[in-house]
Amino acid sequence: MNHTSQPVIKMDRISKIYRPKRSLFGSKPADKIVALNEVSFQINRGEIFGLVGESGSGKTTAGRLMVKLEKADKGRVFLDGQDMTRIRGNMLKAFRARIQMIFQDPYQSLNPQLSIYDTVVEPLIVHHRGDHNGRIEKVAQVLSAVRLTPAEDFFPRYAHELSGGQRQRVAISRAMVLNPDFIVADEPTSMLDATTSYQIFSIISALRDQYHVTFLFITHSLAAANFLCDRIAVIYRGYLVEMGLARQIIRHPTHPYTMALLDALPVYCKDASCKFHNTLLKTPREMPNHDHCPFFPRCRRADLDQCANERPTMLHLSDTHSVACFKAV
Amino acid sequence: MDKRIPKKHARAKRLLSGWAVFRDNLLGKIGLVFLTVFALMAIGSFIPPHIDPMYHPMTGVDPQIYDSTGPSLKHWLGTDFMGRDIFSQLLAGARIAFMVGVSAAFMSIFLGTIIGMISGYMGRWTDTLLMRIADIFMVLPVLLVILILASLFGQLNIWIIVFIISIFKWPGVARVIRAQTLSLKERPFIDAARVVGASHLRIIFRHIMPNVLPLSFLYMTFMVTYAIIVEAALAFLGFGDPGTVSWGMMLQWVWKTGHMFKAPYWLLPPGLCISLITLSFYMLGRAMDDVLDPRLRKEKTVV
Amino acid sequence: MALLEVDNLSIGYYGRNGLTTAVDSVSFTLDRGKTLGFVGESGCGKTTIGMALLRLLPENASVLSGKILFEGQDLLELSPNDMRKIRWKKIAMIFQAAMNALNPVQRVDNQIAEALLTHDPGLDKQAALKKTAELYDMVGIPKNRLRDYPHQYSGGMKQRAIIAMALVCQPVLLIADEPTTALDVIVQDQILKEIRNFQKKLNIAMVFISHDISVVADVCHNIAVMYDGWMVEFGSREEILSSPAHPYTKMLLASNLTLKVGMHTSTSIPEPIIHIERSPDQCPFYHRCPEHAEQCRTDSYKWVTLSSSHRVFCKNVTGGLEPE
Repeated sequence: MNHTSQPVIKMDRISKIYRPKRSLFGSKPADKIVALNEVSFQINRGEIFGLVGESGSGKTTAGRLMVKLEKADKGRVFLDGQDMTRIRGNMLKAFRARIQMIFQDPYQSLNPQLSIYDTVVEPLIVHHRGDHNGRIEKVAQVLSAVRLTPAEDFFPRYAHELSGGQRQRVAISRAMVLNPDFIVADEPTSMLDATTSYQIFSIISALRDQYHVTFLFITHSLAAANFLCDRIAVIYRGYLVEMGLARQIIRHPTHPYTMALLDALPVYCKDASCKFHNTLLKTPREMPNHDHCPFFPRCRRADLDQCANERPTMLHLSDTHSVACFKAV
Repeated sequence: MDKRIPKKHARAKRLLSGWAVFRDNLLGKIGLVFLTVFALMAIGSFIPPHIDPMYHPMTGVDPQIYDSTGPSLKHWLGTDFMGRDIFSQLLAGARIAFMVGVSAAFMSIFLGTIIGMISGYMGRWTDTLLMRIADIFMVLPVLLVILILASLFGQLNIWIIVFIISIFKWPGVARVIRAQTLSLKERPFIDAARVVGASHLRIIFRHIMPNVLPLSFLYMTFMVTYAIIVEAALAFLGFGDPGTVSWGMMLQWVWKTGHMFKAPYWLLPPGLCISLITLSFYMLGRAMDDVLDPRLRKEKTVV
Repeated sequence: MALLEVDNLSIGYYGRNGLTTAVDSVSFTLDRGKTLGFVGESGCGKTTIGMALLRLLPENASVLSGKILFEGQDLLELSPNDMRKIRWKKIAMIFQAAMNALNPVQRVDNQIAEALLTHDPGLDKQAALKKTAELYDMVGIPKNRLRDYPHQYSGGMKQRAIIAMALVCQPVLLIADEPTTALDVIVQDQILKEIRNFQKKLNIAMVFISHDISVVADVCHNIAVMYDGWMVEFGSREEILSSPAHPYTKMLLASNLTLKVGMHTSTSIPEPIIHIERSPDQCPFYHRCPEHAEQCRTDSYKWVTLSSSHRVFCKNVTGGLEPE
């Protein structure tokens, strides 16, 4: 398999639309919800790529699309250059061995009726890997990699006996046990407190360094993304608005929404070099009926010609930094 | 450390902690005590005929007694209108109650759980089809159908009765299990199993089933009581299996032979037994509910 | 006189394994109009303290010792009736995950008005609804959303409605338990601003509980750091942030993600340890403490006063003023 030149994951103009079901007797259904709107980006091997957005931005949908928990309505997903959008059957199963996911809620993402050992060994059983002793070895290895030691002590325990942080580590080891190429981490720390989150971040970073796994880190916090990620993409209401290296996004934000996210961080999270950009309107404007920049209703810098009537596309500010804003250049 | 320990260790630990919760539950303990007594009765039902042929519940007749007599040293609960020993009939009835109750309950739970899980998990056409079939069965009245069949085909064998009870009761279980499955389906650990690549079958039986089984077990205890009562009712009405001695059958004999107000030693024991055994199963079910659902356990966490 | 004076408060929970101490000998004061933040990991006892101030502890909890003096009165000595007069009228609370506390089948303005009417039965419904509308202004919800149902509100709006419900009787003390934890960053920022505004306007004292020290730092004048039921450090915002004395405070600050730090510059943070047996004199933080010394296991406890407003509970701290 050609690892070198291709990005691990490439999303090409992915769109996802939710249409409420029509019932036989119901009234006219509400309008469709566009969760993702022609989103394109790629993630390179060995990267930790951050996808930052608020609730409703589509970031979780993007992650779920990547692991094929949902189907894209338009666009294509590539893994190592191969089109994965419509695969089924055995190819789909082989694909699943290479992409895994860590979920947001550690209290719900582990089956309460399975022991820790059973939970982590399951992927090995599903993909027929290893014999009984080999599997025990592998599970022990992967639990130690997430610092649940001594691993054997954790085998017979159940999820409800563990703390949130420990559960999330079990979830991470379940994701790692098949040696995947790529892991989607969907807000893995939003239900954990600060010190526990910190440990999870350090574990993710160590796994990337040691096992060369690529990560997509989905979060609502730019501070967390800055801490962990090499590159960051900012998503707003289903549109990518800015993308670049972490330090570019944090130090030289170009899109007004990125600036608003930075402004909103608590004072203690910022340092002297952080400006106050003041790009958010106190009361949102009316949403126009025609095409417009998605951030227009809340944007202080928007004008009433271009921003209200056209949708901006991603422009390259440099090799690594791009932004979708008429006011950026 | 022996690396094979993980699985056994886990199960044993779970059972022990479950037992601790059960121990605290008064209702469960009472139920268990009663059920043990009945179980002993059922096992003991094999003994009397060996002591003396006259103690056989169906065919044993005391050569010296020709009609119903009260309790005595020879016959602890007296004899019925033919001179048969009532106590050994009571023991045989316990055996039949367990057989009928447990078999019918097991069959209906088995069917209901599997169909409920598949229906809830697969959704769409499968769900619609299975639930409409369930509706058809659910609407028909069990007792009436059995009575009609009995009058058409004559006396029914006990196992046919068990079968029919199961056929009519699985929809109730299926609906409940389906509802539970629908809610479980949305939980992240099911998504996690899909991402791992587990097949639908594996998800249903490895992930959904262990989480709905507690509910199944609970319903099983209700089913047992229902089956026992239905069988007793049928036997009492004269539509039971004439070759078996059940408590309902005993009540029928009391009534038919006009001994209802003349022989309390014959009327009361089977009636009491039916009531007590159903009550005990119910109490057991309630206690198991506490044991099997970890959320119902009263353990406060500190925040 | 301080509005709230808590003296040597200890609270325990009875569970299957006996008594667990959730809060151990905690003392602090709070003046009118000021905010005190409680920060620590889950399980450190901060929520228990919040609930204790309103005497809303669960049945299996028990106050083992101490006094809670509110406006000079010991709340722990009050009868249930007297406590009810204080609850919500003088002290109100925003619970954790409170947005789920709204009744889904009742309109929001009715729920808030009901809270007011429960504590002030003399008022008529119209006056209560009018007061609700005023509160909506204060917390920043547009008035045309008053007649909506909870499911029509976003997460941020629900939280604001809960805050309005807490303010409806104009309490003098507000206890906020993780009020912004489940919210997006921008909404969190707006709500914190609104909290600071109405606090100044109404001169409300606040106890602010959170696991996130950056949020606490934004809103609070004084900060109390909790670990495993113990208060380990107490000081003004500046003192805690710029000269933390307790190793746990330093750890909390290090684990807070700021824009200055990246993964490459981070330090390692030791694991949390659950339920470890320790001798009575051993510091609860001993096993995780990067700076522990022999005396941490054996010497008796003491508070070290570092300034008139700053004290630390550590046997290994040098310097500090002589205790009075």
